[in-house]
Amino acid sequence: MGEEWKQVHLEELYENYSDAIYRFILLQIRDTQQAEDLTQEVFIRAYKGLEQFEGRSSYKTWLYTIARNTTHDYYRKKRPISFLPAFFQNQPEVTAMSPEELMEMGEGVKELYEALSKLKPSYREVIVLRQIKEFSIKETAEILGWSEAKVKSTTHRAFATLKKEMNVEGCQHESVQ
Amino acid sequence: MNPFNDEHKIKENLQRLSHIPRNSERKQTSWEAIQLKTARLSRWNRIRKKLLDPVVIGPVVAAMFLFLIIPPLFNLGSSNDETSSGGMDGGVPEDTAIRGNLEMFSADDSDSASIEESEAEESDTGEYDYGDTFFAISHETLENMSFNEFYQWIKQFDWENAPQQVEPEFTVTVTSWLKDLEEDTKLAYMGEIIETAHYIDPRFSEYHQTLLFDLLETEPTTFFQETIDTGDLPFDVYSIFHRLIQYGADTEQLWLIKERLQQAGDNSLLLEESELRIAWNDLMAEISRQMYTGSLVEEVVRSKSAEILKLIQANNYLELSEFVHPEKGVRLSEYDDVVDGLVFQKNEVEGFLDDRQRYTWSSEIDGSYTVHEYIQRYVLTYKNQGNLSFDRTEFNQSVSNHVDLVTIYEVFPEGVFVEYFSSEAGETAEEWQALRFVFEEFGDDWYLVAVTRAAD
Repeated sequence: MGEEWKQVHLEELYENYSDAIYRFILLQIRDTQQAEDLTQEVFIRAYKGLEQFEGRSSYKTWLYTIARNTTHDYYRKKRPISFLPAFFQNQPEVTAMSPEELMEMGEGVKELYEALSKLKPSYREVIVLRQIKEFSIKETAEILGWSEAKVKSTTHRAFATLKKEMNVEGCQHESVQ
Repeated sequence: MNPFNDEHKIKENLQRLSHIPRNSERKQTSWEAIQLKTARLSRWNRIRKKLLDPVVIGPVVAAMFLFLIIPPLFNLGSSNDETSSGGMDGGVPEDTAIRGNLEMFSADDSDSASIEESEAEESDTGEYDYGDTFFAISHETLENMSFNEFYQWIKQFDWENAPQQVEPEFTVTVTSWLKDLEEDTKLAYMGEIIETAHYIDPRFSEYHQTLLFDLLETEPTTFFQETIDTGDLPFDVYSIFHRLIQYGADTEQLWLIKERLQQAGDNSLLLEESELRIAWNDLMAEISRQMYTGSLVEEVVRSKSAEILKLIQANNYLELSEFVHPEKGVRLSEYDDVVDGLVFQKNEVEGFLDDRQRYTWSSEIDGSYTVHEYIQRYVLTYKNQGNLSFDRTEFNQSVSNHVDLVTIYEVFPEGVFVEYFSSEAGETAEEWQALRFVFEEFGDDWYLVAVTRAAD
């Protein structure tokens, strides 16, 4: 497998999947700039791993697995800083999506985006993969490294929690109106 | 009417989120950055491949071999003590690394500074000090943090290189902080809190049952679900429950644990999941066993079970009916899933011998049989191969390790049972059959409410 082939193949993967991977990461960390940086990281890792890719899963599932690990590693690297007393003054600046951008996407989307951010990470991941990215239970289990039974039960609970969050959000929204 | 909580609308909006815009300039910049980095990697890969070429590496390895194995050849053996004492295997840096990692846990040792510096390089600020911070945590510091921040950190901590046990004061501080978290946080992060406690001290369920008890009290269904879900961790989730049950027994609060577990069972969602359902029924049986083992109740139901078995073997249904629950009757069930069992009242039991009504007993039994036929063919014999002899009896636990669904506690939450086990039911050692006599208290006595049959 030549280096040229890897470069060409990577470009193809980037064209096909980088938008989806970016959105997957963005929905986890809610920081557009950081999501862009992590997307870069995902494709660099993919380049390094291309030779080892055995085709047991699809490229798409494989890339999502890398994206999930990259996001977790991002937490690993960043979160320890929160232990520093200084952290409380030095919160990194977050490049969030603007409310207008979200509003443009339709009624209730902003509320949903907010409600998603309130879920715990495992619920958020499973909802994004199952409901937004429409992965099968088997693929989701592969990406998250869970059993299929766990994917099923967690999806069920996650969606129930999301609905509950939406109720709270919705009520607040109504009372503001 | 809330326009946002409609399930269909939520799903529709989730779909819309898959079209979040991405800045095309940034996308292009990202691609250029990727190309730059991968081009560097590619160059390095080419160099590495060249270096690893046998033509290049072969002579190098051979020269090193000669240099290291036959030092006198190079006149170095006697004169250079430093080399012979440790240079060959790189022992010095490795030792330092191990010591450094251990010293991350020692707050007042300055020798580990170099390692901590390298850790600090990973973070964005030079002030970060892994080791010192770890032990400097006080209850006050923790109170200023969100649980999720702490969890993410603790999860990624390099535990593999940490000592087996962290300092007890630290464990106590974190455990009590976890216990004092707000109820909403406990609810939202129940599973993560259990994981965190495990990371802090793998023996936490042994020594910090009060935390477990507190989490169960917060919300039993979530506690139960999330504890079972932590099965990905390298510990037996059942041991958590067993510790909790033991704690309940020690502090005479078993009834409270049972009540909470029953509350969890009342949640219909929970029993939709087979794994949770099996675990829930097992734990209910375990609690009842703890509550009654060695008590008069065990003595009474064991002796009643022996009489009942003899009466069934003797076809004496008239006397058998005296043991049947006056209100609930008795449920006969093929397999331990009693939900679909057939219920017979006391007066119906009396007439079993003459009852000509045929019933379908389970999907695995072809045809239909009267109660008496069913008892003769399936309860008292193994696959109709001759009468069974039972060689073991147990109180509220199963002899075999079969994992079939046992739903006795869903139907009879206050019940206890005695199991009769035949280990050589058939011709081979693997063939076994078990009968369970389930009792519930009514007035001042215990009455038969179910007879279940399980076999390999």
